[in-house]
Amino acid sequence: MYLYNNDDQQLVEQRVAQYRDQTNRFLAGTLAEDEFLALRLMNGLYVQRQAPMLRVAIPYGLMSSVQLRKLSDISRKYDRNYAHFTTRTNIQYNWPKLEEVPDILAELAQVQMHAIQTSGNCIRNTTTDPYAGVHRAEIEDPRPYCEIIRQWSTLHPEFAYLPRKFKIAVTGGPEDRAASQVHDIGLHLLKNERGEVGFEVLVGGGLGRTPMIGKVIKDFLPAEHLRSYLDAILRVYNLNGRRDNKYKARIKILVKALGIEKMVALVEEEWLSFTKDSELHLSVAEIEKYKGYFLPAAYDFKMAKYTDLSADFFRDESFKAWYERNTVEHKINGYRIVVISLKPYLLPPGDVTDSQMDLIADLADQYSFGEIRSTHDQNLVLADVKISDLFTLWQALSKANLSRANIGTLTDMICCPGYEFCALANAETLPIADQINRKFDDLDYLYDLGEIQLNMSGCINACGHHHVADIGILGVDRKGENYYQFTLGGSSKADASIGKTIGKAIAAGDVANTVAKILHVFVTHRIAEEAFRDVIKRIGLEPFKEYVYATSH
Amino acid sequence: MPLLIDGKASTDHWVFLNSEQLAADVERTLTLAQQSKDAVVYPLAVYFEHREQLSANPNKTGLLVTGDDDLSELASVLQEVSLIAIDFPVLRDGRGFSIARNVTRRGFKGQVRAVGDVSYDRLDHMHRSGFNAYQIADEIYTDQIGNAFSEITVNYQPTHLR
Repeated sequence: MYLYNNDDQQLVEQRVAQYRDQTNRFLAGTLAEDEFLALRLMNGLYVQRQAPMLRVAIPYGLMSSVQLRKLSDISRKYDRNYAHFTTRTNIQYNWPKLEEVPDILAELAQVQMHAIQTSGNCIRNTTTDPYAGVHRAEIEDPRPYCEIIRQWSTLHPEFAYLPRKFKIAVTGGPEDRAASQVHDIGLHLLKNERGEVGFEVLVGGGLGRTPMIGKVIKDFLPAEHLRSYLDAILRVYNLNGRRDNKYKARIKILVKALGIEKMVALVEEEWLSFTKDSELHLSVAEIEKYKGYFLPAAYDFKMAKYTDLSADFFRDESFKAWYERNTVEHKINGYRIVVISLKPYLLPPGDVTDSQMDLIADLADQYSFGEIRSTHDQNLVLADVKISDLFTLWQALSKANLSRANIGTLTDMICCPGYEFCALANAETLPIADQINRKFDDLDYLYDLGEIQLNMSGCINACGHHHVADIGILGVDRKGENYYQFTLGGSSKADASIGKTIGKAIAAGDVANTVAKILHVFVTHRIAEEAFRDVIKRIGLEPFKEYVYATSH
Repeated sequence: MPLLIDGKASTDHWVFLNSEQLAADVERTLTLAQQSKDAVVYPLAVYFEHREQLSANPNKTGLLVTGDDDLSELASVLQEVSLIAIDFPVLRDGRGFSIARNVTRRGFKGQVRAVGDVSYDRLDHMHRSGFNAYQIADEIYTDQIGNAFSEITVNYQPTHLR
């Protein structure tokens, strides 16, 4: 992984000192509240319903065991012994004290971490495929480019006060595990017919009030131009994005208003006349330097022959289920990618306790070269585990409630913290997640249903990505009561699509029953092993609407 | 209102045209401005409207530019002026950073001045985007204000310092 040099270290330390000074001036009353608001947001600090919330950056979801132990330590020292992983692969603390945040940042800086640009109207943490560098279908490891983007976007003087927040995601191959098409910019690594590496560039995707799929602004951008082209897009956005209405300020609205052709023309003009051949151009040597930080792990190629798990399979049915659901084929024979489910039974999706973090850090050291990845669907990944270690690893995870074999199933839901923790939310999400978990606790039933993504947001801002799930649930408030609106047929994968509403919102007590009705229609119409999304594509929403809203069953 | 240049309070040699005067009688205001000894800053739109009349003396001509102006022709007048003042109407509005960048990268050698909501915590952003003068409200100005430029000394971006 990328390691800080002296300059990188100096930058985060100076940022800590700067933020400490800003906090002190605010507490002393010499920095106005609205000004401090913009400054603290740019450093990940929100003030929520019950307490401040601090979001710490995990660049492209990659962290070391040392960093994870520090995150655990901070949760013990400054918070309530847990933290929450987000869909930008960052981590949040829900109970820090505003005046202690500079101390937390100083601790983070000790392990090459920070909270820079985890909120605010600036360029946020770049996300990527959690299987980067280890998946068979990958064209090239996207992380060196993510690091290039991280550095270019960090404290960029020109782009700190954008019209609105700005999110970039990068995929390394044809499969999309980063929801790249619903990002302000989506970058798809590919090779052209001459074998050169570059990117398909999408612009103007996003969720929130006006969900949109990104449009192609460049079919093939040679990798050497990545930074200069991004700079051009951001300048066009900064100068032309709307400033009069924050709900219409994202780049997706600009792209829609201008039309993609005009957007292409503006960006091309900016790029060709100024940035393309500027210092932003990436030399081969520079790209190679960043690739050098993401070389393959020191795999034991003798392990290739240990692919036979039959003995372990027979030993334990639960292990077999976990192996099938929570591990993924690795590009090196003898290894598997392990997904650690942060979706246990009746606990908040994406939460981890301090002791779980310590354990995962230890397991990463023992079994996966000391590295951990966070995923956009709020799980963790140990990317390089020997098949021969899987059983022992599974046992250790099981003892800590980290081995629920539900990856890709209905209960592996993306879920925002909802009303209890977020000042923006209109409705609760966590009690609804519990309700669904109670109703669908039978893993065999879930396995029979196949891959189903269920996402839930507590308000229209859509942090729970409800628009891009097979089953999306949006909480709304009606005169003090929570109701839940269902959308079906969304996807954040390569076939990205925005789900469609099936009808009026449903009372809180009926949410799990409604999910059951939707699944009933699915199972009734399903042919053989057909996936949920394929059934929806084939039969449309009508049968679901009819059954869910029928007067009696 | 102190003017900060090179980290120090400096004398302001420029007069900004009063928009009320302009609204009352444009012709008279412009004629008076041209006859005066002062260097004068004109709103960009006014300048374009009266370009023939006003483009005579680059040394004493400046422009006030806002994010709402039509910026497509800005490049064409840079030779005719020696000051570009860029307005930051509110804290949230960051268009001025990119406007400054657009001006300086076209080789403009004159003064690029930040006016409006010019706060301590954004001075370094402005500096690194191409500004070299800052008009600062009295209540914000202190003798320590120059510290704002050295809080962060590591820059990942190509530098545009002037």
